[in-house]
This record gives sequence, structure tokens and C-alpha cells, in this order.
Amino acid sequence: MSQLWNTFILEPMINFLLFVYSLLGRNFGISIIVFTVLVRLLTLPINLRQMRSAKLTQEMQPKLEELRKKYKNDREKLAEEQMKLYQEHGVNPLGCLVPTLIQFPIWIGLYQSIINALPDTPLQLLNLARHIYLQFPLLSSLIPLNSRFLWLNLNRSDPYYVLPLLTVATMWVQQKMMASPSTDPQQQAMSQTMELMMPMMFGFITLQLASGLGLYFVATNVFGIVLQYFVSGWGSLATVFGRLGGRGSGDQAKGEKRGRKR
Amino acid sequence: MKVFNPRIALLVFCAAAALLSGCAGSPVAPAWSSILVADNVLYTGSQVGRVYALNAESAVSIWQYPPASDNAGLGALYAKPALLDDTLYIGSVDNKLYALDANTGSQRWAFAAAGRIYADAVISDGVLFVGSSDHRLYALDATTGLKKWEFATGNSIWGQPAVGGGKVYIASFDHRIYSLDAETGQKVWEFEAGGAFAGGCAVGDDLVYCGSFDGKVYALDAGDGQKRWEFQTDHWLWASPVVVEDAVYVGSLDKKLYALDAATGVKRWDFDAEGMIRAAPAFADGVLYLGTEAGTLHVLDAASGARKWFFTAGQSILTSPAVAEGTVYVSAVGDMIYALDAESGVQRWTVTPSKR
Repeated sequence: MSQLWNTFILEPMINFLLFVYSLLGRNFGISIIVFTVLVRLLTLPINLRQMRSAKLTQEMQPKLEELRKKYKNDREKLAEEQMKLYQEHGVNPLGCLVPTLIQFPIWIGLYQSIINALPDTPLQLLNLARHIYLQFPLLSSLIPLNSRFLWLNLNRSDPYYVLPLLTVATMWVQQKMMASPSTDPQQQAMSQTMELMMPMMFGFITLQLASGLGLYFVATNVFGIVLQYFVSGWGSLATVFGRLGGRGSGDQAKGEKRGRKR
Repeated sequence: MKVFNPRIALLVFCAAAALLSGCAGSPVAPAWSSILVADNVLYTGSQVGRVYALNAESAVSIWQYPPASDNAGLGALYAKPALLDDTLYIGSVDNKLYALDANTGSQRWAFAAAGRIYADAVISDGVLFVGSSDHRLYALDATTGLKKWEFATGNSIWGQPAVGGGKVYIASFDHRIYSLDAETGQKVWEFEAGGAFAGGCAVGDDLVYCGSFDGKVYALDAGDGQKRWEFQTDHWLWASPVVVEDAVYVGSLDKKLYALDAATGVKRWDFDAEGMIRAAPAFADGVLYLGTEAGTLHVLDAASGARKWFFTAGQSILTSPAVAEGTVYVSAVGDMIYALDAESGVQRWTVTPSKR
């Protein structure tokens, strides 16, 4: 299993990343950003499908709420009616999960390739030797990679905590854009906790690990934000903007309208 | 159904956290340790940042530095210790080179570089030469630790220098080999290769031998740095070459040990070790002792390359074995040390000093 993973996911990614590095003036920071965007573009069709499915589900929310109220004492009937509604709208209730699971190995591969390409110790360098394509001598000649980018040493953590903060901020924005309001207070509370917990946890991971990984997190989040904006607008983030601007939920409606236009 | 399903998010997050923390790291342990055997004492560093001195016959502990009462260790110790009279020298990833009393383990002095020290130190005429990840080669007075000179290369130095004929030869990750005046540190010549150098060089009769990540062994004229010959292997060369009379032995990450004619570079034989070779073989009495990343110690006849016996350790062997008094000592990743009969391979003892 491990061999299959290395052969079909990890090694192509590491070597492609090195190739990108050789093309981009041996700047590993820019290489990570470009590589992340390229891989995200490759998975764009899956992403878009997932987002559109999510948007349709969001639009069904009022009808789903009605059903919940109508059949609040009959769970079996509720499930049956919900399924009917999904079928009518051509929505798969698990439509969000499957694309996420498909993309998951790619995210992990991306992460691993960045970590492997930036060895910080002799043993990590030996590990890179196992994965590099020797039929392309150019790739071996790139070693050691230049790990400096802006103020960062990409195989060490960010000494100024900028990347962890950016990771938290961008992930929170993305989560907010993806989230839809719920009338169920319990679900609402759980959603809000997760919207905060996930960015905090990834921020903590970024704090601990190589800043190259943090750069990848920020790049992939920014890509996700842009994509989400073009698919569904600002989503629940518009509510936050509205609150900050003191304009209430009207902005949210505008944000969602922007999404619907697309 | 909600678009942002917290349960799914939690599931994905937990899986991500597990994979990010556990699956992405190297399958190998975080450090290797090298050994030196002299006067029936085995000296070794360790992953936990302690230097150990053991009785080479019985594996009984003589001392450790820092002492057991001190909870904090040094940084991980990859480098092979060097011994001059009763002083032991070893570099650490905490950027320091330590000089210890070889009899008691007490510290005599420490020299702080600006980067990690993975390289083995070499001592010649009372001067200690050591490279660092801060790109510099340092020449220190071995008695006092005072710096005589330093020479900056373009990248990290992980290999040990070679010293001969009043010159110091050092290979760097900047793809270059440098010849320096041992007295002053002035550059005499430099040679640029197609790949980085992670290992050290060896000096023979008028030639300097170094292996590079471009897979080539380079033989350079020690006087002017002109290339006399090169030999191509199928993977990176990390192990320092070993020169014995008219032969050069060099192991490659392509899993082969090559025996080359020192003057011409013509291959005499090769041995498939079935595991990456990261470190130079040890040579004693016409026999080569070779460790591999697959965890096997191969013992070969140096003239023919025929295997005499082998030993399988539990972990990768990424450093050079040591041979003394009919015993071969092997350090495997994880700080496990094996003592084997050099003739038969029978195990005499095994110990993990850091886990005592």
C-alpha cells in the first residue's frame, strides 16, 4: 500500500515540484504557491461539482426546514420526504463528502511532497533520495534546494508567527463562506465551534511544522476562497461584513445573490 | 442537511491531523550515530544528544556526557568522534563542537559554530578541522579550541575534510571541492561538479577522491585540481571514498560498492549490497566491512569483492563500522551497537547506550 502511494501520488508530486522549482528561478516559496495552484486547478472539476452540489443543498434549506417542522414527530417519514426532495432537485445528500474524500489523498500528497522536498536533516535527505527520479539528472542537480523565501526558512517554523495567523484567517474566511445558516440552534452552535476550531488547529499545526507547509495552507485556502466566491459569493461571511458595517443581514442577501447569478 | 456538515468536517479534520502528524515523516529514525574505537574503549554519540564511552570488550559503561544526573542532552550527535591523546572531539546539531576528557567525559572546551555540525572532525598536526551547516570550514587549535581560521563555502558542509601535503580538501553542498592551505586557510583551487557533495573526500597518491550527488566519483590532481578521471554510478554518492594502496572503494545509493583502480578509475569489481550505501566501508587486514540502509553488514574480500559473511541488524546501518582487536563494531539507527567477531560474524554483545 505504501509502495503504491509512493509510486502514484508522492513521487510524481515531489518530482513535479522540483521541476517547477527549476523553472521558477529556484525559488521554493513561489514554487510551493504555483505548485499548489496547479494541483488545485487539476482538481477544479471535482471542486466545482462539490460546490455546486453544496449550493443546491443550500437553496433547498427552506423546504427542508418545512419538512422538519411538518414531520418533527415522525423521523421515518421525514427521512423519506427529504430523500424525495433531494431526488426532485437532483442532489446527492453525500455529494459534499465524496469529492472531499477524493481530494483528500491529493492534499496529503501535496503536503508530503513539500515536506520531503525540504529535508532539514541527513535522514530526511536520505528519504528524498528514495523518491527522486534519477532518469532526470536535472532534478538531482537541484539539491540542495534554496529554502529561503521572504523572511522564512521554509523547512523551519515561522519565527514571527505570520503564517500561522494567515492560516487561521484564510481558513476561517473559507469556512465562513462555505457555511450556511441554520435555524436549528444546536447545529448552529456546533457549526460555529467547528468554524473556529478547524482554523485554530491548522494554525497550531503551522506553528509547529515547517513554514513551507504553512505557505501551502495559505495558498490552498486563498485558492479555495477565490473559487468559493465565484461559485456562491461571500456566503455567511457577508453576515460578518454586515455586522462589522452595521448594515444587518441585507449584505448577506447581496452576497448570496451574487452567488445565485453565477 | 447543512452544506457545512460539522461531523464530516470533524472526520476529515481528524484524518488530516493523523496523516499530517504521522504519515508524512521519514520512515527512518531521526538520527544516526557514529562510533570510534581506540584503546579498548568505544566512543559514540547518540540521537538523544549524549556521548557515551563503553568498554569495547564488555560494553560496560565508562562514562557519559552530559552525565546522567543532567536531564538535558546536547543536540543529536551524528558525527564520528575524533581522538587526540586523551581528548575526544565531537560535533553536535546544537552547533557546537565539544572537546571532552576521554578518560572521564568532563568537558574541556566547546566551540560554537553558527550552524549545525553533522561533519566528522579531522585532526592533523594539532589542528582540528570541522565543517558546519553554516557553510564554513573551521580550523581550531585542538588543545585550546581557539579558532585559527575559517573558510566560507557557498553551502553546508556535512562531510569530513581530507588532510594531506599541507592542504585541506573539503567538499560542500555548493557543488564544489576546495583545496585550502592547512596553515592559513587560503584557497589554492576549487573544482565545480554537477551535483552537491554531502560526504567527505579522501587523499591518495597525488589525487583527491570525492563522490557527488551527480553520481560521479571524481579524482582530482591534488596540486592543481584538474580532473584526472571520473566514474559514473547510478545514484547519489554520499559515502566518502576509501583509498587502500592502489584501489578506491566507494559505496553508492544505487546499492553497489565499487572497487576502482585509484590511478585510472577503471572498475575492478562491484558488489550488490541490496541496500543504499550511505557510509564508507571500514577496511582492516584485506577485508571490507560495509553497512547498508537495509540493515545488513556485508563483509567482503577487498581484492575480489567476494562476500565472506553477513550480519543483519534490526535497523539501517548508515555509518561506517569500526574494527579493532578482531572485533567489528556496528552502529544501527536507533543507537543500537553490535559487537561481532570480525572473522566469523558471531555476535559478542549488543547494547543501546541511550536506553540503559
